[in-house]
Amino acid sequence: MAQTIIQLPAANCSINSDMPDRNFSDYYALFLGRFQGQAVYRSLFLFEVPILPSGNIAKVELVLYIMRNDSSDCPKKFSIHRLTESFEQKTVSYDNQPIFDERPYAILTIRDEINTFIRIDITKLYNGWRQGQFPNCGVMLKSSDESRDSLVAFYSKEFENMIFAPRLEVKLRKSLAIEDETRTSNGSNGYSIGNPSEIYFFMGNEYFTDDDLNKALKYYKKAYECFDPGAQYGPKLVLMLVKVLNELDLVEEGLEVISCGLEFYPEFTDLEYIRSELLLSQGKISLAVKGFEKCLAMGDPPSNQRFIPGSGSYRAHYALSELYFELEDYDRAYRYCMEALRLKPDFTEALYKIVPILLEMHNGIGYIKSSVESFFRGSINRSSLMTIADIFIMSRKYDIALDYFVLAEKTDRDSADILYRKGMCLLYLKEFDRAVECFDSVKPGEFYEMARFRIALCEALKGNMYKASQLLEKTNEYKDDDTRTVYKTFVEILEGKKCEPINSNREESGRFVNIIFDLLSIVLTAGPPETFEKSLQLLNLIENDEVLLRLAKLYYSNGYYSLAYQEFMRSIKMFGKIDREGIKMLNRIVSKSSPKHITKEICP
Amino acid sequence: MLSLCMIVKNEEKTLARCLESVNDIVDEMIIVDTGSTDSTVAVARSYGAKVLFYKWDDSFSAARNYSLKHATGDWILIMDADDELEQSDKPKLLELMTNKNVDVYLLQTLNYVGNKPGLDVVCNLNVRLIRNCRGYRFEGEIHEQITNENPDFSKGRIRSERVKFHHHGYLHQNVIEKNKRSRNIRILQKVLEDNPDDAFTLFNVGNEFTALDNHIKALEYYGRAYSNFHPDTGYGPRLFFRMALSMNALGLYEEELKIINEGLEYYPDFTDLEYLKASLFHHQDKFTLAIRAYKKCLSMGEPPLYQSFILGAGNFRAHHALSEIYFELGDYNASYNHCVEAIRMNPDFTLPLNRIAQVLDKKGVKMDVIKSKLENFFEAIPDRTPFITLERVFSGLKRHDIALEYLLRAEKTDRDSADILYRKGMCLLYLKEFDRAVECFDSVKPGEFYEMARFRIALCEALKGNMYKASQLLEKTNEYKDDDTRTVYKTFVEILEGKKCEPINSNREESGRFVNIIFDLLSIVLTAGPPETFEKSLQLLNLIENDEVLLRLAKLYYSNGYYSLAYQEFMRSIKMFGKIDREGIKMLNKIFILPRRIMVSEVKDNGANNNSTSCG
Repeated sequence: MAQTIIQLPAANCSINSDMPDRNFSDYYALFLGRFQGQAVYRSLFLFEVPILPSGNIAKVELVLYIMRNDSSDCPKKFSIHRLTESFEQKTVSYDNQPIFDERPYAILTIRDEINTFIRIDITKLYNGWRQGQFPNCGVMLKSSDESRDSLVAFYSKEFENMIFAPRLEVKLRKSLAIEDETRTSNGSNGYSIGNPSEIYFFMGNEYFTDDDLNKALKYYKKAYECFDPGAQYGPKLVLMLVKVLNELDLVEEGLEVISCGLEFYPEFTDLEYIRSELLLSQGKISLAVKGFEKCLAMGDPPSNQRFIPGSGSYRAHYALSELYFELEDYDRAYRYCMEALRLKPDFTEALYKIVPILLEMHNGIGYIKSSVESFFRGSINRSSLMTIADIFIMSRKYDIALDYFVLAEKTDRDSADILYRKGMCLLYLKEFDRAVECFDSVKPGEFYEMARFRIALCEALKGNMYKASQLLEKTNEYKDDDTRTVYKTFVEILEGKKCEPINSNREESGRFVNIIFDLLSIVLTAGPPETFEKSLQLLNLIENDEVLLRLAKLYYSNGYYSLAYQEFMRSIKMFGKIDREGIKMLNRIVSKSSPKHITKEICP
Repeated sequence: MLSLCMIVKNEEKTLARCLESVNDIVDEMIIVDTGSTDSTVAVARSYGAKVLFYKWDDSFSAARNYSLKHATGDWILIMDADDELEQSDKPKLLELMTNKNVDVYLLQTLNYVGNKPGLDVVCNLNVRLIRNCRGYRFEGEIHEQITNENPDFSKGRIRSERVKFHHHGYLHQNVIEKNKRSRNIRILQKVLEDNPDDAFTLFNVGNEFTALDNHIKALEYYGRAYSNFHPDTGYGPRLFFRMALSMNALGLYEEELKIINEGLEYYPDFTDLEYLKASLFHHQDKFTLAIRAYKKCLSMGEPPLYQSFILGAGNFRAHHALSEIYFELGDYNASYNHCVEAIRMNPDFTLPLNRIAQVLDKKGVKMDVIKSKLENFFEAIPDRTPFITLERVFSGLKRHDIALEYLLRAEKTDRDSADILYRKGMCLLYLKEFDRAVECFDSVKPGEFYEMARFRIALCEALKGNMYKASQLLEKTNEYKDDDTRTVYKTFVEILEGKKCEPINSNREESGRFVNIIFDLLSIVLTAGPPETFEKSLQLLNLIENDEVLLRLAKLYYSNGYYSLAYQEFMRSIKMFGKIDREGIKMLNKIFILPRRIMVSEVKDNGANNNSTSCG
């Protein structure tokens, strides 16, 4: 790991459109985005650019700690701008705010993150300042869409605990790197703050972002040994330690830290939540149930211990719903899913789960539709229609999804993504002509090339092989060579031609495997059985030892359990390939029916 | 005055046990023989029975009624030769005869399902006690039902009570008498010719097919019975129970669940059906549903007598099942609590002690503490039984040292008992104390354990490296009837000597017999032998023609905690023989959940065992 130099801001301040003449320079937090339909906040930062030997900088990141996130249910975009005029922390206000370059330097998205650091790469900007391309007047952070509520807050340098202050992390290349241990010696590298535990914690974070989990663990452990539970970073340290232990598969140790952590912080629901998840992954179902129920009894943790949103409320309900769903305990799954949605009606995961639950409970489709719509509280707009359509696609209810795409189309005609996805629904419903019509209307842009391939597929499934080939010829100019290769081979197979291997390189074949299975999963639903059977030849034309495992999973997820069983066996026999998910599926298959009955199932 | 009435045919093996159990409470014995060719009649007469002869006319009822005619007592006790009265219920039985308001008693029959009389009990209610001279008689060719020639006959005078008879007729060995079953089917089908929709007869044909393990045919007849069924018939609950069991045997789980739910609609107190539902959920890994269903059994309690087929479905057995589920889910506290409840509700049911020991062991409790905790379950230790029970518990934990301690204590009360000596020898064998083991085996007197003890001595010598002695000992076993064990042991010794061996068996059908012997041997060698010996002995698997050997080997590794070796063999079993089963998949699933660390360190520890067999 390279040496990192930490710089604290020389100035930071936020400005507020609602109080345009006021200065907030001594406040401990920095605000960003629109608040409750009125006030718009922006934040300004200035860092000194020291003189360094040139060419040594590997990466520069602006690191901020999110301490408030009001609209945590939706992603919010923020932009960073270079200031072209300097500002004074003590006097700057919304009215006298400095001029800034309108072109955003970078965009960042904040979703439901809370009590965590975010990082923004500003290497180029920093180098520009350093090399004198433009003067260093600082940067501004603002919401990309100031017409939407999006309030987020970070700790400012005025906050008592410097570990959470905004900072620049300047990573140097090896030439300047010094031994790790010297980083912890106070003062020399900008770590002039806090006690050793805090510094170790910080080091742990560094290594964690660098994906060096073993080193991260080493420092988190050191930090944990001498940490003061009363310190601000305490809960986060415990959480990170648990996280790293789990990722390193040191589950038992992780569970111990959780137990201790809960003694320090009895209201730290997130820990109980993680413990329940761990128990579940170990198959300890009854203990996991008790754990999640305990989360609900604890409620959400105090704000300084809140890292997993809803761990004591909607998320724990949802976890229970998923657990019960897996065990085919649908009444319970329904109850908990509904409760999660009652607490948080826009909780996407739960919205996606409610349809499969209602289907398993043999509810009528009309009822299911109105249930789902009810969660959108009457605000059925383009985005909610698209979400609902997507939810039904997940459950393979293409006809229902189609209805919603048609409605969405009314609000936004000619939208490429609506047209493309509508086309896909029609394709799955075997309405090839109407599908082609939709794909054909997709204008050049994001979905265009894929739509052209899908048209060729429709033609092939209609039996128009010549037309399909012709269409594929026309895709020569597209950059997606792999898809073209697969589709062309597919058509050749259907035509009964002898085909060249698609790929004989084991390493590269992964790319093709994904395209082939995307194709196969469509053909399995939309094509006649003979066509699917033929198209399986694609799997012989690549050199990849996971194809039978993937095929088995494809069959499984389409409900063809005996075929899935057969392919799992072949995958083991021919390639020695099986994985956790595959074994779980096998276990499910044999528990549904005794093996002698599995073989009776009719082939598609 | 009480008269025993029986009909018999060739029952010399069981009759004495039956008569012995009621000898001191009946005042006369009327035994109708329908054509015995063995010593049945002599046995009967030795108990002072009045023996009558009746020419068999394909009707049990007719023969039964003939026996009733000769009874002179106030009450008639009805038994079959393979029945035995529960001794502790004698006073209760005598008490029943004092109730003036009852004419007919239905009493409980416990049928033993497995190979040995033990804990897998299914119960029935049968007509056992009838007031004489009130016009009661039997109808029906095979499965008699009680009727009364008097039209005023009131059902209110029939009552069921918890007096138990042990029925040994459904034990596996006896069921092998398939001819009897076929004969029954023949008779019943004759009845059906005249009355093709008679639900009770259809039900009985189904039962006969069930006894023959022909579940498809059984279901066919149960289904026909069900379509003509009225919920208030006596056999109604039984029909649902049987249908559910047959569907389960055929793996028709969805249908089973459906029929159980229908049955519970008719009979909401029918705990046994709820119990079957819970077992089904458990089998399908639907753990939360299974837990709730078993808890429902507990809240329902024991069903009415005529709906009681599984002993303890509403109490101890449901607790036991819950303890099993919770153990499987790693919820050790809950498992422990249900074990204790199960034992509390039925102190004769000591099976949960095994689980309790495992739970305590998993929780890292010290062996001394486990020992005293388990001992505390026994109020007093009057005889050797608790020691034997505890020995089995600790052998199950593979703590052969502690098991041995209990055997030594049991020995004090029962010196020279062959089974104690034999088990002691086995403990010592597992503990690699071969000389002391040989001493024990050597003291086993001729009888049940004798031949096996001789084979074990040869094994001890082989493991000590005395191949010549081992061979000599095996030569001496030529006179024993157990050829298969001799063949396997001889081959084992030859392999260890490095000799080239003949195939043990090349007949796929027959090889199953040898597989069991080989795996019994392998599991001993895995614990008691050095790794190289185990490695060599795996060659046994190459010398039989059987496609389940790798699957069995994988399971052997698994149950000894060698998870990565188990994984390897499961894979090989699938690759080479295409063999895997539910249990194997469950084990694989568990292996995948294990932390990677465990797998890795285990491979290091047991590297020597890798790549051992070369089947194929």
